[in-house]
Amino acid sequence: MVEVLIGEPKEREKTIVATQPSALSESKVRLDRLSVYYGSKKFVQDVSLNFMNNKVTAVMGPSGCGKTTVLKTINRMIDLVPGARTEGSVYIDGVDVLSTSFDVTLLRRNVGMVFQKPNPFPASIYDNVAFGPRIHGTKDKKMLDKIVEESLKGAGLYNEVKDSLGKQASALSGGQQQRLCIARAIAVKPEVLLLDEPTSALDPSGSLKVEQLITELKETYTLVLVTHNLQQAARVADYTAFLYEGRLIEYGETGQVFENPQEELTERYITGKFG
Amino acid sequence: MKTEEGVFARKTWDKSVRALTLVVTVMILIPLFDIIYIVVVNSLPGINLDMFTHLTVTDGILNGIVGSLFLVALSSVIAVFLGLFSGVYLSEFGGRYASVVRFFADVLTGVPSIVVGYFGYIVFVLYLGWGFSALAAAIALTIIMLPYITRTTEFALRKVPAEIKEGSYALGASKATTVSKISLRYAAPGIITGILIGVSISLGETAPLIYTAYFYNYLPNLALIHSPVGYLTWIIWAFINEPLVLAHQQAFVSSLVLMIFVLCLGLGARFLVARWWKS
Amino acid sequence: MRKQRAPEGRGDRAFRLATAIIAASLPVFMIAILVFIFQYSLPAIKFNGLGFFTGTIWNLGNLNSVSTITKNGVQGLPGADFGVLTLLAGTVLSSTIALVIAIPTSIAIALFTSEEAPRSVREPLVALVDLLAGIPSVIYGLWGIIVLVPLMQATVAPGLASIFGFIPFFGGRTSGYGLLTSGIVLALMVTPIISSTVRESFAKTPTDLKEGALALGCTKWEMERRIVLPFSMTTIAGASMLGLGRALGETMAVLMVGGGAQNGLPTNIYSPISTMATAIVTLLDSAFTDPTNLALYSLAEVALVLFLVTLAANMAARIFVSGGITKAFVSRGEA
Repeated sequence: MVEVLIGEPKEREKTIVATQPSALSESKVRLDRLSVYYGSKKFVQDVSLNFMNNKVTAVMGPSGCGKTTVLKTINRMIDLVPGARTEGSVYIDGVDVLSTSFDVTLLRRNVGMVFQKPNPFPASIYDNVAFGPRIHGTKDKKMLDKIVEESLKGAGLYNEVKDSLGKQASALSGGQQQRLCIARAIAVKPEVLLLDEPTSALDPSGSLKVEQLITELKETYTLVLVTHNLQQAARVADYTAFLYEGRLIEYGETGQVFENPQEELTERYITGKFG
Repeated sequence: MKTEEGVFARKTWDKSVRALTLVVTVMILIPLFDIIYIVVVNSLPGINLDMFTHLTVTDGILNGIVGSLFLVALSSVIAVFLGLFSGVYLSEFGGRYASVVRFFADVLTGVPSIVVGYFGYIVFVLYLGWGFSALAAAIALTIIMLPYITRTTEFALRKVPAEIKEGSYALGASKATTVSKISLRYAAPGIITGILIGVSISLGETAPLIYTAYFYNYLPNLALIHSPVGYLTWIIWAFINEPLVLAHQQAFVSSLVLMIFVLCLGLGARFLVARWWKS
Repeated sequence: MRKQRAPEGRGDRAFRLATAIIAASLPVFMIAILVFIFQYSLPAIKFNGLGFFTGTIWNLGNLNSVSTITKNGVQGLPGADFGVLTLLAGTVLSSTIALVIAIPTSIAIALFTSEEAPRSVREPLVALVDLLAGIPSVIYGLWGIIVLVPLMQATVAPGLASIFGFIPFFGGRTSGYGLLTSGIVLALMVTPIISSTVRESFAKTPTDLKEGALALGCTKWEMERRIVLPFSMTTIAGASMLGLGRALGETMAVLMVGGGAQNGLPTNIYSPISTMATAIVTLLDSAFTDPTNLALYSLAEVALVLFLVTLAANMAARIFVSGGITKAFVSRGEA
């Protein structure tokens, strides 16, 4: 068991706020006192966090700390979990997407998600990428061709598959499938990309390609990267948030958090004492 | 945040289609409740002591009840014996022969019950000269029940965890001992469920019985051949077309009795399955 | 199929032999049915020839005749002419109507019970639908006579006529007994089988595919249409074949609401019909009066045709449904 002296709640909150950039207008996604209940258990507790525009923010922590749950609130995939309930707000461009009147279909077009295990549809590469645009109303073949090409290029996959777009997605390697899923997600031109441990099911070369992609993608999108791989966070993320048992422990620029963690819990996690 | 044209149309489709699935599900349940309703309501006037103690010739259905139970009991004895051991074979042994048996079990499930009945008529009633008889009917019902009992026994035995069986083998027990003392005990609820389903099906059959047992207005005598037998489903079929009010009552009360039997068997099966999953 | 790795001692071999012999009862029964029915129908096959399949009339011939005629070495009454086309038409049409109603209905029910209904309600709902499968077919016939037939005559037929009456097939008056009524009752009987098989398949749709579609902004129905339904396409086909097999062989319910027609093809949706299955029941008594027994042999030929048609449907189903068709019927007893 880890013994941690966490200061008085008020002091802790002050600390966290102090390490966040004060220019709130640059935050694309803002979590405000977000809590998530599974049944009666308060799984995520009062998390307030900013995700800055066109930056990669890593969310890390030991298993069960709530990082994937937090991710799922941003595109309201949490709605699909039976018995899950949220409190607090998730603001995207200043609008609270957790309010019941907010259109979930549009939200998910604007906030894309890449899953831990690549989940391409049982269809061709082309149809996978074209799936989103088709759903949202694009029917013109020329337009679709263009979108597919752009998206595959954006995912760094185009050159590898351009001559075989009709091939079944399942025939691709794991790393390629994941990049296909990224292409699929960006085909609907979202503004935010949520990545849930996107390389944990991939081999090293596949992981490397995805990490390179993440660094390129941030020029166009705002990325939230959930990962348990500390080195990965250190490599690609601009900002890092550390969650433990549903609470936000520390947040700051990645360099800061790794070299000079403010909280003892953070330090213990980074140095591998648990998690 | 982007907006999008056509979202309203998509959402309307979504709500409409999903509401439609609810409507259809409710609609399919209406006949279910209606059937139960008309059977209950129309049999009420006929429910009296005479109905259950007299024979069909004297405004009762006793011979129908006894006959149905008699035929089902007789066929169950044969079907359970054959089905149980066949299921044991299929679950314990593999190979070409087992696949062939499985194939024939599947084919047998699909044989229309009237064809089974006609087969019974040709072979047992005519060719073997038994005439309309309980045994001919029982064999016809056995043919219908057999594939179900075989396959449910097989599935139930397959679910017995390998560790339990291996524990028995490791102690030197033979396959036969393992199966009878360990596996069957473990799989019993599943097997019994299959038997209950088979019994339920055979209780409700008419076509295979029409030309094997024909009909009899008196209690079945226990001779297995040369003697026709009466049963509930015949009463329902034949008497509803008679112009007499009393005949209709006999038909409805027979339906009620039949449905109560089927319901009890079905509930019994579900209850057993629930208990099985818990163990 | 790997054999169990159990020691095979003398006792085991005897056990295996004994159970194998008992298991032989299944193929034995099946082959016996095929052989005996075929053998019994052989005289009729010879006598009737191909005209059996084109003739619409079931004529025992001149029952008062003292002499008999002979065709291909088989004796029959003069004027005997057995045709199964009327029965085939009745069988195929009633089953088709049943499937046209049952397949979309079953898919809707399967979608509702696997995706839409609140979890607490799903089990009881499924149990209720399965209860429909357990009702004996005579009772369906009973309900058909008491409820459906009057309903058809008073309400449905005039209703359909007012909407579709311009199509000859849908127009017409009716006693309430007939093709459409049979089709509806068959649809009711067949729906639980199809929907429970399809529902199990829907439930197996991989969650990550469903989540992937939803995360891209699909509405729930769009996800169901593009992910869940295609995933289960083959099962839906197989389950429909299963339902078809069941509808083809159904006897009592159709007997009670079908109206009965031996000698004329159905002309519209309300025409009285007989199916091969119902004919075996209704024509047996008259078949006894044929001294040459040709009528009885011809009925066996009807049974043979019925058996083969049903077999074809069930074999098609077997290709599409995993686990074999007995499992599909059996699963209604398992949780």
